[in-house]
Amino acid sequence: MVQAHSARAEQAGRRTASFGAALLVATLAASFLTVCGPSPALAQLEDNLSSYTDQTAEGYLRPLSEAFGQSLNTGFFSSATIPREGFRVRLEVQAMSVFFKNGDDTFIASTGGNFSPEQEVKASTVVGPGDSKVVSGDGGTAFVFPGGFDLGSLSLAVPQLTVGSIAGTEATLRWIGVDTGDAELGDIDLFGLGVRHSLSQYFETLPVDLAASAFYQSLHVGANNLLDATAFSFGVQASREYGLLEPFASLTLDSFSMTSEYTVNEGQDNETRLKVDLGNELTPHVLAGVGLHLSLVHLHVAGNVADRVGVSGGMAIGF
Amino acid sequence: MRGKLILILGLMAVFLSVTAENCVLQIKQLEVPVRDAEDVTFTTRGSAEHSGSTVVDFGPSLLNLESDSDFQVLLSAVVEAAEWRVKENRGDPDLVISGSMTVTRVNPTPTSILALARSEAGTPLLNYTSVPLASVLGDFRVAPLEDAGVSLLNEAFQEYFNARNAELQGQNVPLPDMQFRFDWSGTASSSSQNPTVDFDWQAKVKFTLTGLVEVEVPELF
Repeated sequence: MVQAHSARAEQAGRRTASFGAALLVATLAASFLTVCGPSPALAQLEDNLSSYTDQTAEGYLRPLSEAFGQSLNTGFFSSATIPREGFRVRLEVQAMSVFFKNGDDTFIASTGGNFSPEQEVKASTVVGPGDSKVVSGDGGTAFVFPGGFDLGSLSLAVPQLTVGSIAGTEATLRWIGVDTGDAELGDIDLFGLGVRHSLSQYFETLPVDLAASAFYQSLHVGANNLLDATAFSFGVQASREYGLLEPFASLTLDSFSMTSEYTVNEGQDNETRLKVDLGNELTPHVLAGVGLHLSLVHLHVAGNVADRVGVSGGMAIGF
Repeated sequence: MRGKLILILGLMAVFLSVTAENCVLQIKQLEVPVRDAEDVTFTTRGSAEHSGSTVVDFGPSLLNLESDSDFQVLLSAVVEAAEWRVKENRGDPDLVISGSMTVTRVNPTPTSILALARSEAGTPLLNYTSVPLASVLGDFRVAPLEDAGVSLLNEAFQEYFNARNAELQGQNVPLPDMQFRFDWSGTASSSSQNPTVDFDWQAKVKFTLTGLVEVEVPELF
């Protein structure tokens, strides 16, 4: 009887802790979403892009595109341990930052429109210094390239839910839908879905747990397709538990493509919509980190290298 | 123990919620160009020699452009380019055209510390000689510019820039009159002895305002 009472109390305590923990994750996710949500920077980005009347905009956007890709393809996991069977669920908030390189500041930009003579000049990318660049043309005319947002890093935060396990397989869902309520700024939508499958189950003795993964994500930012991106990631992870700690590492092959649409010559009779295609990048991506498991709470930090160096961290509630 | 940990993390989360915007959002200043254009259209019918005149006021466009841009400070105002084209040709397809356009400040700014633009009438802005009409039909193309005309326009834009900045510094300075008269004249010939001349000729002056803009961007590191 006493034992039964204790079990019920423990169960009730767990439910309370789980509820509190879920609230905690929700609060964290909300705070991060507030931070990384829409800002006037989006509208400004479209204004800046309108200076580029051709595919030159690709060079202006490229560092942002690549950093988006690397950030999005990070943070899906912090362990390679996947049970063969049994219900398991984790609600997480993941934060990822990618640091820009020195060469990301500038690119070779071309004067657009009917500016004469056409010239190429080193100008700020979207993440470069805020200074504009002015070049002189025929008869005292001048073409002005916009400055950048002077960013040292790009940071994203996303909530995600992982559910498993069936035959050593679990699924992870990412989703953000932010309605800015502003037609100019538009909305931000991120949808991601991935699966991981335990490889360890096929081996008798392995010094580490192994898993394979495949993830897909789509991102839409701003009104009228300002930024549309698609990301894929395929890879393997390894981890091993040492008490509360679990070091982990992964090797993935990431794919990321992005397009940007904006208006040039707005309000004029030759107003057009320009679509810039940033192509499809295939990038190897190495990540290593360590997790800390405290009953229902799981924390982790990691460093990663792809095109750039990045760091990530996360907190998960679940079992 | 678990309860204490949850409590601590909860307090951290609340702290982050309250302070995150201040901690993570950074204010960045960037110099941004915004662009607009004014165009003039002339139509000639039946005459190998033709001319026309029209007045354009750049003032309202400059003010609208500036007010739409959220500039903290205006940094420059300048002519970016001029373009021209034959918008529509209803006459002989093999016409060859020559012509020019001049620009005149309608109401030069009275003598003051801000007056820059000269007031000479008919300052040459662009000219073209023996151009097959078919080659300039349709899309706008680079106009063959004259330094004097661009300089006249730029000096007026500089007056506007000076006046706006003086306003920002609390001085009571009227904005300059930004009206310009554009005079166009030209000739047309073709292989025909009595060519049919009937086309719309169009020129456009593109200008750029550059200003300092402040935006908040999320930046953790």
